Amino acid sequence: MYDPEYVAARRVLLDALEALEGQSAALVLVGAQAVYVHTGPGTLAVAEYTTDADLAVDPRLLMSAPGLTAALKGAGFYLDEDAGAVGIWSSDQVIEGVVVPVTVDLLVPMALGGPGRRAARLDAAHGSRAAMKARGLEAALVDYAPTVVAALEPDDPRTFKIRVAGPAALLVSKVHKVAERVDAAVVGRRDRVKDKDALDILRLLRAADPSVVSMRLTTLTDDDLAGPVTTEAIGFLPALFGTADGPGSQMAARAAAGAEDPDVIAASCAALVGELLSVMERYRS
Amino acid sequence: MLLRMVRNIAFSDNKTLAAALAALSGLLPSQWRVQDRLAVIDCGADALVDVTAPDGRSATLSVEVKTRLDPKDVIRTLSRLATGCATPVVPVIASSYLGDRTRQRLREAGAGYIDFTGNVLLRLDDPAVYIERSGADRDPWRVDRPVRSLKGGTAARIVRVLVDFVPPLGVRQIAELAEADPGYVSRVVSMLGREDLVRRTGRGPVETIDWAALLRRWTEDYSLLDSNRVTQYLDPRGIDAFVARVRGATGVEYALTGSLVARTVAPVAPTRMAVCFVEDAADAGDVWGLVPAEAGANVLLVEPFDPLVYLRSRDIEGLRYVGLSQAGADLLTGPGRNPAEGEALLEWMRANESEWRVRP
Repeated sequence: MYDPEYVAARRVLLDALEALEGQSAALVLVGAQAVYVHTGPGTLAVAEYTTDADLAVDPRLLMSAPGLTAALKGAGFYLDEDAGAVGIWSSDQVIEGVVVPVTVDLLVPMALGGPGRRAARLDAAHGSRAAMKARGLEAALVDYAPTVVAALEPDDPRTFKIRVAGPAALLVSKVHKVAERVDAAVVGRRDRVKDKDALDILRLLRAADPSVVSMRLTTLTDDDLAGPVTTEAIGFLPALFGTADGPGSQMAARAAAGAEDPDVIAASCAALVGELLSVMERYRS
Repeated sequence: MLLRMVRNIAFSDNKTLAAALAALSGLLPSQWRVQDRLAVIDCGADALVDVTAPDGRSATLSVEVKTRLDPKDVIRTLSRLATGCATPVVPVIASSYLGDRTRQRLREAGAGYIDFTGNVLLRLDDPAVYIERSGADRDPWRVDRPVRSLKGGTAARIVRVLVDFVPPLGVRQIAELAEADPGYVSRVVSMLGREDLVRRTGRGPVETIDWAALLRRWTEDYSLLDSNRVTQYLDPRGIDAFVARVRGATGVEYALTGSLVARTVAPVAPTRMAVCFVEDAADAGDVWGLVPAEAGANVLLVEPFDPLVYLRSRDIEGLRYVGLSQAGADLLTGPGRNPAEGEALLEWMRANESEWRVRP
């Protein structure tokens, strides 16, 4: 039996994929829902993903029609203008009798997002606030595999083939997120610290074969688009996760607190990152 | 040399050895020599002794002095004696008294023995010697003191038998099932009777057993963490990954205990600590790819104080688990939330007695 929030989150993802069917070649599923595709219902006693879905957009592959803004609005999505939302598309869903906005985020990798602070610069046909720029997603446009995604409710027959970012690409983007959050915490914005991304990294490392991820990461470092962010992410790993005391390991421990032994979580992060780095070292030499 | 106690009569190992060698010397013709090498010994024995015939031919005995040797320990003791010796040796056990079954096993294994009651067996091929003599069939130094605790492997085996099998159980039957001396079983049963954990009429069989209370009573003398050698490890991929690796690997003798057993019958909470008995923790940790852990352990590898923990293990879906009575005692004395899980397991055992308790 699935949690009603999961069911709604999947329904809204499918709504978005349906609306954007003409642009599916430019989309890659990233974020927690993509992690879940690789890890399955994990063994950690902590909820696997929140209710939002993240889609990476490759502006180079976007066609001029359908326009992203028009297509999503047509399917009942809206941008919360009062909150100044950019690329965060909401759809109101009833979950256990309460109306809740469930969101789909359209994200363009920084390297392809053009000038400007938050909004990605896309063809005018898509609208100026359709997608937001995000750091570290470049690798997801290189490392992915087509996967069939279906509804979680029996009376919804929809299935879509969507490209899902691979474990190596997800690792790169999650490491960038954790690094940003550690920086934010250092300059005093503790409220921005969300620990869940660090736990997603542990999930990925637990589920993935370290030699496969190492090989993929090594390939990504040689890629024109993904190379810089991948190299950067690998460079972040020792300081964030190299020890159980590292800020990344500690974020994962906090995210699991109550449900799992925080010491085990932190030590596991350090052990698996250590293993990954030493396998990569062997590949290089 | 360390003084050891044989019951309430003290013999030092070297006094026992000297007496044994003197007795051996007396049994051989006067021209034969029996000589302790007194040298640094490279094998597992207490002494290397040369037996030399008048024509100069000689054989070497590796003599081990035991204050006590139970039948079940014969093979283990002999295999230790045989290792590491540069030249061929004939193993000989010296003791104040060796029981009938112990002597029989030594004979079957090709070893010799000598005890103070006159039981002797020495067989040499070159020079040819065959000495066999019978002494006492009962230990003359034995003092039947009342048993006061359930410490040790033999008491533990008796407890496990009383929990695992449905009464009535006669003392001889318990002794056989527990591989224990009937006299000792009788004394343990008396003690348990005084504590009202078992009941028997006169010298008849044990008729009723309060197995749950008995298991709890055992945990006053046995503890998973204190009685055994426990090493902490981390499986960074989590407990389910650890269990999958255990299922896949061959060549490691093990039995899972603790929460992992509880969850086969009465799952309470997600398992946060895997506990597994193994013969050698370092070897098993290597084979299973575990990381030694100070803080943040999720796997405990436990070298048992006695092989009894493996008795009546259960194989379920490619995994070996200790018997429920063992798991109950381990949980009640285990770390973290284990004691609460132990209570839940005992509750399940009480409600489903016919599913695990068997007739002998």
